[in-house]
Amino acid sequence: MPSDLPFSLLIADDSTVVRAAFKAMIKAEFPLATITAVGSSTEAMAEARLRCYDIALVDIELGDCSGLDLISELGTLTHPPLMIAVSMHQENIFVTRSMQLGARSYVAKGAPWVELFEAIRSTLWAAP
Amino acid sequence: MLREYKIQSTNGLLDEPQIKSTINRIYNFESALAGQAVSRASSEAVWLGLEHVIHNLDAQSIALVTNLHRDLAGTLVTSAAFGELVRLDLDPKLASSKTVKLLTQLDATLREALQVVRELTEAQFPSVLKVFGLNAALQQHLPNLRGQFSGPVTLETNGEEPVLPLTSRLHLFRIVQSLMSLCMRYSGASKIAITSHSQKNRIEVAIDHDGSDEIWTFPEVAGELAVVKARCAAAECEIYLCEARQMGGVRIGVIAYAPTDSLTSVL
Repeated sequence: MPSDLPFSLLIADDSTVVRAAFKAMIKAEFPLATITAVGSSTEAMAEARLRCYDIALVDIELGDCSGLDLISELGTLTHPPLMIAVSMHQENIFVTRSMQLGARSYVAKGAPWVELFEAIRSTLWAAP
Repeated sequence: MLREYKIQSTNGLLDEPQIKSTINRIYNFESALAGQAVSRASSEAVWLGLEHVIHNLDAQSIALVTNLHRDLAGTLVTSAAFGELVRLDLDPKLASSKTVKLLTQLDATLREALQVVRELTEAQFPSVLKVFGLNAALQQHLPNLRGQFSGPVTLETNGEEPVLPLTSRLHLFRIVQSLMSLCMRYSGASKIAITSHSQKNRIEVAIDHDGSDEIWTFPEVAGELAVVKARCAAAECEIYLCEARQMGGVRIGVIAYAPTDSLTSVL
């Protein structure tokens, strides 16, 4: 059932097709979401400085740097977005390190889509 | 010509006579390998060839992992998304149960394929090694090592790990894997202790065990040692043998140096 929560979301993933997939899926579930997708950490930082995003979906392995670095860097902004780490990797160290650096949730790529949707909902609800 | 080895005392573990003895041991170890079947000159050519092959294999592994991760896995994730969007678009009253079932099967198949990609990627270049470095990869690998050995295997890491290029990181990890495997299979050791010590520009991994110190000259380990040596040369690592005082046995260690232009520690 689609949600009617309006929020802004920034996707940072170096794969064009994955960006398109995330965007389409999230839009289908959250029709009122404003979504911007970028392919590098440089672009993500530029976007996040330009406007305040509610949520940032960050791929752990970005082409130009580690997504973990991006999570740290986004956390230094005056109004940082709430961050959700996404990755192909399932090892615990990726989850714990992402959380230590400031991510609210961690979602494995390839997990059922509902997990991503739930991560977005719980992150929004937990927002101060 | 045999490679020149320069071994310095590490953490005060070796005094001057021990250093000389260690270098001699390594020369003997090289001679034993080189003299087995081929002449010195052709042996040198074989080493160079092996170095070349391993260097290329690892470069291919890294390129393959990038393609698998970004391109193939990305395509599978996207295909799963398209399948899900089709399912969402279907009118539940009009869609046939066969169509719904096929979409469910498509989703399960894509997830299985994604898992295969994940396993292939790990086999080529462990993701933890790639993202977090050698110490985290060793920590992750420890349960496997313990499962292959009847005695205790401990791992201690200290210091801030320097950033090594991906190829060197992979070489170093494979070197440690091979040395560990050889110690476990041939030395007759009852316990093994791995210590990884990092400084600003270098990382040293020492494997101490209480087994035989002659295994490095066993003919049956020559092939695997040759690969270790070739990896050492390709990554410009140093390898050494010495007494493991605390263990009352043998230490084999490997030291890798970070390029001077990348002296930032890993996470």
